[in-house]
Amino acid sequence: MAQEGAINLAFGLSLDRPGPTADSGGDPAGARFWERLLVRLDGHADLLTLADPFGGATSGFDALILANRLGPLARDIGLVPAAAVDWQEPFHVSTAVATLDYVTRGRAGLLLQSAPAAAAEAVGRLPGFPEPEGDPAQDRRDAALVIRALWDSWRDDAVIRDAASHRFLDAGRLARVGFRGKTFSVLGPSITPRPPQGRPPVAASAATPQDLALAAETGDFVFLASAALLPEARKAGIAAPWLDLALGAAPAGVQAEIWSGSPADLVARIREWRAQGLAGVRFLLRDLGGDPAVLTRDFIPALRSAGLWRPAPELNLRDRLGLGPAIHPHLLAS
Amino acid sequence: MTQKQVIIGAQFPGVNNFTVWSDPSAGSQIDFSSFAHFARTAERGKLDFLFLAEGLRLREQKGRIHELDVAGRPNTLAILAAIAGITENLGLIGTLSTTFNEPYSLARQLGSLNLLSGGRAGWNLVTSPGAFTGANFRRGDHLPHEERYERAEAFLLAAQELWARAGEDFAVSNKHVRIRGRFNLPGAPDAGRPVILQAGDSETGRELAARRADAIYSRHSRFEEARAFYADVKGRLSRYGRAPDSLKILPGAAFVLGETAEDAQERLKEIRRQQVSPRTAVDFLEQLWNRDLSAYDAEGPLPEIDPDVDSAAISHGRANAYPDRLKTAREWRALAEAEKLSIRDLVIKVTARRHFVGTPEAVAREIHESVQAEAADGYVFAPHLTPGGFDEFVATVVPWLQEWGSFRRDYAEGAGLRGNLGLAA
Repeated sequence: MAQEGAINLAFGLSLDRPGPTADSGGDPAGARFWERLLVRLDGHADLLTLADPFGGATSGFDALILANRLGPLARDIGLVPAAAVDWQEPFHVSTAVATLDYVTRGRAGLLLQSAPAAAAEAVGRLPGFPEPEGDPAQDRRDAALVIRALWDSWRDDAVIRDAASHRFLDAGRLARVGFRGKTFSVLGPSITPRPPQGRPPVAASAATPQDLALAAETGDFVFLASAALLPEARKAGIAAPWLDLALGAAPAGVQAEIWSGSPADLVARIREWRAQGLAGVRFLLRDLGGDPAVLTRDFIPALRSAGLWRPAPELNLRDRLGLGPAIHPHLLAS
Repeated sequence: MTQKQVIIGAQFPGVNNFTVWSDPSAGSQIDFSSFAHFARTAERGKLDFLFLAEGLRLREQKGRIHELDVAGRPNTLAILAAIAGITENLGLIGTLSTTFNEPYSLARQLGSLNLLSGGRAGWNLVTSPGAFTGANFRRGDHLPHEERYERAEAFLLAAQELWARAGEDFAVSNKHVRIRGRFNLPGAPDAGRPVILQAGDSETGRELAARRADAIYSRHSRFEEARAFYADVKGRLSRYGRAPDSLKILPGAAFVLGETAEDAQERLKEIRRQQVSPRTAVDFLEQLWNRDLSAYDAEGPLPEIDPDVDSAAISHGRANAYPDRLKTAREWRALAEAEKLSIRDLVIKVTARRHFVGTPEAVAREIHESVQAEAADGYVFAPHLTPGGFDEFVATVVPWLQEWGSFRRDYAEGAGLRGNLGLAA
C-alpha cells in the first residue's frame, strides 16, 4: 500500500491487438509504437503491466522481451511484464525479471499469468510441465516459489573481488535452492546475481472468488476484476488488493470494473473502496489512442489533487508499493 | 578490385578466467551500465554485432561453486532486448541452448527480439550437458547425450517453421518436437526469423552448419588451421545448393594493443599472468588431473602422480573435456620439462587463445590480410576487460580497416544483422 490515505496506480496493457488510431502512431509490430506509448504513460502511474500472449490466438510480443526492450527508456514508471509461468522455465523467468530489475535499476516486477488451454499443445505435453489431470494450483505455487527462491540464491554481497585470495565470489554466500516438487525440481543457484530490489514485487490476478486463495498465496499484490471481490479478498488474506478499471468498456476477453463516470466521481468512489481495503487501481487500456490522453489529462490529475496518488520517482517499486526491503533470508536466521 | 569485407563481432567478456576482474579498470559484470558502455562502443566502431555466450548453471569444482573467475550474468534474451533499446544498427547475437529451451517459447522470444530490434537478432545454437545443467530445468537430464545434435536440428527446423507461420496455425511432429497451435507473433511471415550461428567443429557439426547455419563461430583462428577449416566448410555448401558467401566463418579470437610490437608483447604477458593467477593455474590442472592438487605450488613443477581416471569428474560446467587424461598429462609434463615451465607457465601456455598482438596498424593489417587470404570472413573478439575492453580497438584499429576499404565507414540504414553480415535477406 502507498503512503497514508493514498493508493498506488498502474496502467495495464492487455492482449487486444491495438488498432492504429490518429493518436497511436505507427505499427504495433515494431518498437516505435510501444516506445511512444511508454513516453505518454511515464510519470503518470507507479507501474505498467504487460500481458503475455503465450498460447493465445491474438498476436503480440513476449512480455518479458518487450519489457526489457522498453526498460532503458522507462524514466520513472515501473515495468511489470506477465509470464505464463506454468508453461515457462521458472529458471529463465527468474533470470529475465532479475535482468529487468538491473536494466530499470529497481523498478521491475512480475505478473503471474494463466495461459489458454492451447498452451499445453504449443509446448508439447512434456514431462516436467503441468499434467492434464494435475492440480494447476500446485504448479502455479511451485513456479512462483522457485522464481522467488532463485532471487534469494545469491546474497547481495556474494561478489567479493578479493585480490589476496584471487576469489571473485564467496561460494558460502550462494545457496542451492534445492526445490523438489511433484512435477519438477530446480537445484540452483541462479546464474544471475541478486536483483537490486532483492525480490521484485510479484502480482497475481483474481477474477472470481475461487481465484482468491491462490492469488493470496502467490502474489505480493493482487488485481481484482470486480469491486464485489474486495470484501472477500480481505477475508482471503490478500494484503494489497487492487481493482482493475476500464473506461467505458473492458478490453476484449477481459473482466474489469467498468467506469463511465467523471474524474470527481471516481475520486469519491475510490475513497469508498479505500475504506474496504483497496490498495491500488490498475487502468486497463483499451483504446490506445484515446485512453492515455483521458487518463493523464483528466483522471490522474484529479486523483493527485485529492491526495489519492503521488508519483514517487525516487523510490524503487517495492517501496512504492509499501512492501519494505527484501531482507535476505540469511539475515533473518536466528 | 574491392576488398573482401571484414566482419567484426564484439563478445562481452564472459564468465571464465579470460576476463580479468582484478584490474582497477575492471567494471561490473552485471550492471546495465557495463552492457550499455560495451554496446555503445561497438556501435560507435560500426562493428557488425555484439555476442553473448551462455551458461545455465554456475561452474563447480570438487562439489563447490567455482570462486576464482567472474560469475553472474543476465538472462541472454532479456539483456539483448535492453541493448536493442539503446542501439540502432548493432547486431545482437545470443547463445541459447536447444537442450533447455522449448521451440514455441524460444521462437516467440527470439522473434520478438528480432522484430523489436529492426531485424538485428542472431541465435548461436548450442547444446548443454544434460546431467549437470538439467538440474535447473523442468525436464531434467532428459536427452541422451548422443541425441543432442539431432534434437538441435529438429528444434531449429521447428523454430523456422514457426517464424514462417507468424499469425497462422502450425503443427510439427517428429521424434523430438510434437507441437501444434497458433504462432501468434506479430509481423509478416519470416519477419521474426533471426540469423543462425553454430559452433560446428566435429564432422556432424560441420555438416549441420553447412546445411542450416548463416555463420559459424569457429575455434580455428591460427592461420593454417583456419584456412583449412574455411576451405573444408565452404566446400560443403554446394551440396546443399548454397553459395560460398552464404555461410560466414568467424573464429573467436583476442587482441592486445601496444605502442610498439614489444610493448604489446609485454602487455600480453602481463594480461596472461592476470588471467592465470597461481590459484587459477592449480585449479585448471585439477580439471585434468581430476584430483585435489591444492598442496601444489603453482610456481613449482607439475605433479608426478597421474590423473585419476577412475573417479567421477570433479569439475563441471566447463567447455574443456579430456578424452584421454593420461595422454594429455604426459604431453603437458613433456612440454613443461622441455621448456622449463612451472605449473603456472604451463597453464598460461596451453590455455593461450589466438591473440592478434601489436600496434593498432599491425593488428589491423593481420586481420585484413587473414580475411583477404580466406582464413576467415571476420572474427568474434573477446576482450579481457569489462566494460571498456573494446574502446581502444574501436578508436585505433577500425580506422585502418576503413582506410583500406575492408570495413564499413557507416552502417547501411535498416540493414539489420543480415545486412551487416552481407547475407541475402
